Amino acid sequence: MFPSGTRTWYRWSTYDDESAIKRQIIAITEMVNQNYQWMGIAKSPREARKLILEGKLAVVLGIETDNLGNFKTASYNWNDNVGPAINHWWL
Amino acid sequence: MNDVNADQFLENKLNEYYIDGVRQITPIHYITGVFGGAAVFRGELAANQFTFNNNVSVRSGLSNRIPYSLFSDYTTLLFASNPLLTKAGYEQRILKQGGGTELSTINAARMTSIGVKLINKMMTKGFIIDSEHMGYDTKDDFFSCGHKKLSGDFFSYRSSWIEL
Repeated sequence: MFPSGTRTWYRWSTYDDESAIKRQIIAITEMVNQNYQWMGIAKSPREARKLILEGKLAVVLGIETDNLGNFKTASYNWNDNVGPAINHWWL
Repeated sequence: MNDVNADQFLENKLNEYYIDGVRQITPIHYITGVFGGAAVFRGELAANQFTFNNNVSVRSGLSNRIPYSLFSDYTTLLFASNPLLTKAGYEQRILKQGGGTELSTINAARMTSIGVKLINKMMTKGFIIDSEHMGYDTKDDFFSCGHKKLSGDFFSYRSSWIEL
């Protein structure tokens, strides 16, 4: 999803978790649709079984993120613009 | 989000994810947030929390025989990788609860009331819930939600309270 050969994608992209979730759901869905011959998204156990019995890869969409839905409490100091800060700590 | 409006926000968001095709969610990752505490057992994860300008609140893990030490992580790893993170600055950000010391590694944060609402809604809707990354006490609370609901909650590929 990001330009190859660069680590500065955050400069032009929204990088809050909810935006990332949405972009990745769209991306994986497009990828599965483009490779429907051998994979499919399973939205139920029945669909998973069907895909597997057809010899296809059953893809279960999942979310693993720090800030699900961008939900936070007012008292919590949450910095969405954390890209440069991470560079400060780790680069 | 607060306790009053959480039900509606969570309901709408989970429905949205469900329609998008999402069936599995890990609600807590590296940063302690609105749902509960993350597993803070390593200095790197504590530093992640600092990056978001939040302190790390810990209590003693000695009774649980948990061998990790935020302090030794600082001295052996964090300082070498980032000299800008001073020992004083590091210790200042660790809030010691109860018998907590700089050696403590259990996140004192429990699952919040909003987190309990989220877990119950996820179980009702049939999401696979990955408890990975939840802190020790938060995971205890998660187990309680699961036992009350007797639904198919999911325990992931490794014990969450040892965050390697």
